[in-house]
Amino acid sequence: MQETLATLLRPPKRHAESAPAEPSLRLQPREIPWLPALSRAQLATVMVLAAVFLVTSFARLNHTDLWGHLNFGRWIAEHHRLPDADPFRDRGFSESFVNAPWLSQLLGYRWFTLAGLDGLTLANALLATTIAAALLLALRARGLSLGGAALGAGVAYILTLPIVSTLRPQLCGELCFALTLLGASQLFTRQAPLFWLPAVFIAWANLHGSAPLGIAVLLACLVGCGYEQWGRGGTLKTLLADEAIFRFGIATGLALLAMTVNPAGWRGVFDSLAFAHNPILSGITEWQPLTVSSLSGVLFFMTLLLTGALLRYSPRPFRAWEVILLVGFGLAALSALRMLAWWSMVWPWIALPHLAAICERRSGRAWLESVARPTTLRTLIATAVVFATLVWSPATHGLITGNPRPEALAIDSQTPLLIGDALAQKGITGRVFAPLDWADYFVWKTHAAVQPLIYSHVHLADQGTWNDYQKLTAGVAEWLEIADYEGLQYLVIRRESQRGLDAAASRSPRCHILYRDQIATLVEIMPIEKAVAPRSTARPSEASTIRAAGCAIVPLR
Amino acid sequence: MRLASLRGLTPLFLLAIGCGAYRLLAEAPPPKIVLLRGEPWCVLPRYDLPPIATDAQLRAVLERMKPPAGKANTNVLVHALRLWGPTVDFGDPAIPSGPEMRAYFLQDAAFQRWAGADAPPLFALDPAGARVRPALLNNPFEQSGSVHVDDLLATLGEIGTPLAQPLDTRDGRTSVENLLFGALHRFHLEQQEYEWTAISYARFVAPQTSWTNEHGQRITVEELVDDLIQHPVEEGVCGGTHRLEALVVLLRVDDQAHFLAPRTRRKITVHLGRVSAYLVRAQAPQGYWTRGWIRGAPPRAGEKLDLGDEILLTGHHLEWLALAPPEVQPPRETIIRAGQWLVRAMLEVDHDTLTKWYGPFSHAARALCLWRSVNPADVWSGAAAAGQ
Repeated sequence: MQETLATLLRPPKRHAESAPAEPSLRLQPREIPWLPALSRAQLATVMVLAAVFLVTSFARLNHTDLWGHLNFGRWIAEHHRLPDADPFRDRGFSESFVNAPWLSQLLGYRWFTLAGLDGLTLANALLATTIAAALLLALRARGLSLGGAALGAGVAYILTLPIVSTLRPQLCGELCFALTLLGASQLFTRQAPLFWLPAVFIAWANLHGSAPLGIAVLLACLVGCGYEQWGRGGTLKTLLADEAIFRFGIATGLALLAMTVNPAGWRGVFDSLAFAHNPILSGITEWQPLTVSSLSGVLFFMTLLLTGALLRYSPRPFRAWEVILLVGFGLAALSALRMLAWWSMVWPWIALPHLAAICERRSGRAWLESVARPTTLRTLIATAVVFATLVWSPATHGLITGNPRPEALAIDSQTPLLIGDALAQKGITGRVFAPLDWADYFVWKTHAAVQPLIYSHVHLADQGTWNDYQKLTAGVAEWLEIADYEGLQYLVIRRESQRGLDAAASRSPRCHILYRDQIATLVEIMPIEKAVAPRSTARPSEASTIRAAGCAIVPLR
Repeated sequence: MRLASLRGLTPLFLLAIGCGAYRLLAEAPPPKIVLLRGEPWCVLPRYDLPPIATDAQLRAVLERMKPPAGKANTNVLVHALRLWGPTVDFGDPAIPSGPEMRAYFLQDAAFQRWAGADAPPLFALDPAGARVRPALLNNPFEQSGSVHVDDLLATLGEIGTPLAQPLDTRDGRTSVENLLFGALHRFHLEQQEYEWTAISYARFVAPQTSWTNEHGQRITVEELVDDLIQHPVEEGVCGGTHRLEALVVLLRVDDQAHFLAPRTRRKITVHLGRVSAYLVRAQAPQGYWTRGWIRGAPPRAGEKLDLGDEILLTGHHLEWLALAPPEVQPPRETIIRAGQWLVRAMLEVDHDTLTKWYGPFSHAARALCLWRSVNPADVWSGAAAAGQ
């Protein structure tokens, strides 16, 4: 990898050497001997990566499944083993349970205990930056200039902007995916990835359940190359003799074997493949189809338009494997918003070389390639950019100054911070109904003392429990019967979107409001035998109770 | 190793030096709460309108509003302390005097004497500041808990208790300042009840325009005012009237401390003026208001009415209006009609109802005194002396 990095980031010599001589009358900046020199493209690369780091670190920690994964990490750290059933609920979950991202959960929890909330923000920013860097290398390996590759990494980041604030194991999967793209780029001409790609897949299989997507990339390249060879009249013998096909075949096999190196073995692989087919996921926004009305949808459809233009004008022929990947990942992104993360890497990886080819045909020289001589002034600028990024970034500012941000500024404003505090302070334990995007935080805050009916790991729930959750959310007439059936002791109601349930619970003689603010209501459901009548709110005085005192001149009403 | 081979590390050295220098030069974070005064701001009544309640009517009303004897109820005592102040003496050992009521909230021994030795402490100390025990529904000690968030602190401010005043809790001695710190640290803008925190802020914290709570959220006076104005009135305590009272207290303290931005002050004035206009339209011909005042129309024929609610609403509205500036006042006729109805209702209501609804009725008595710019203790002691 070191060799790869060095060669991919090195400024192109031929252009540096053939750079036109500066006009003699122009003032030459004096070079600083103790600083390395940077080309324009290298400076641009530093700026793109710094921008990715900075923008990501401004995103507050999202409240959805981050806390759920930290819950799992804490459980694993405390029990020194992997859970073999849903550890946060004692009923209502499906029997089959493979916790694919156990390693990222454990690492995330360990990192949190070491570095706190700012540490998590830093991890998010570092992962996003590393993904961008890996994609940049993958684009370089596809023949793009360093400037073009930096632009590609920036484009990929912009495509993922709508989901950038979510720190989750998927980011580890995205990093492995970008490394797979780098490996795939190199496998056409080199065999080095055969040695390190299996290690990536071993890590991937334990960091996140998305490793089959990496297999899909390798398979697409294998099938695409084979199809082209077959189309040229090739035979099985010539197919096997093709070096690229051979390397992709070996790589795919090794990657598949590497994927089995996880605590569940082959079952883990099959479970990852079956994950997206869980019917409950269809009820979750990020697993629903893309719509043009969303920012993600707009960005996606813009890439489709650009792809059409590239198909029309690119002088570089579209390879079969490129078409397979574009169609496959495009359809996947269309079918589920969450798949956009993968499309945002596949699309620039495939499209940018075509864009570069168009530009090169028009300009007659390499696209976005540095021709000016590297200078130390650019190194100083790059250092200043990195320094400004570190000081400005909320993720590193606290580390530098020793003043970490308070919780409310580090986490997303939608996080149920206050109701979470109320649950912890009141010592609430037992089964709780709560909005699924809040429930993870409640489990985290109460150290798993509350057992949510549903939390963000919806794929672990059985269909009946999920249906009951939806009915309770809608505040159906038989909500109390459902609550009793599910053994719920408490309800945490989001007042704005669950008005029906809020009103019904407030009226019920079996319910006792423990806490209420403008966002949420915490209700205790009393067991039937202990239920008491609500405190009398009968009017204390009627006209008949008013004394007929002598001073009354006119009736009060 | 040649020196030139280390050139690549130079930017890293520069970064390390830069970050080190930045750390040395970076300022420490500002304190979360800054208090500039030790005494609460005082808000005095500003009108004397005899037609609202004659001296004789006032004396008669106050005679009925002595705190009830027997085992103390914290909510009743906090209302009694607000009405009577810390100096009154009823000359009856069964009825707590002003100093005893004040001591109830400042000394645990006095609290136990009146609320019972088995009552859990009213205050608890925690790192964020003193915390008040809330009145939990169906709890055996509900009566001795506090019903509203930060109402005890606001009342201590209203009767002029300085921040340095010792607060003797069962956990040890602290001060009113620590109680204020606890309230401000725990405050958040999603809170359901924030009226008394706003009043406490105005009394003790102004002219500071912001503070930081325990979650690190910066609370500004502008946000506080927006919360008081924008949230649905019907969700506020006592028909939303304490929010109006909080706005008036903010305005009146601003007259002395000048901490509100002109735009914020104008926002409050416009809002209160609008409420006044609603009150004029919503007043019943007899003079009272109901919970439907927010509709800006008098009670409909056949509408189910509740005398307790009417006294509660009418008393609370007259109370904030008594402190409000002239530019937001409704016509005098509206005030007088409401005052006279209140006097009659207070005199005619039976004793049991009055005792049960002591809190809301104490607001009505206090409103009448404020509109006459008199101290209830002085009026009552004058009447008592004349009776002797």
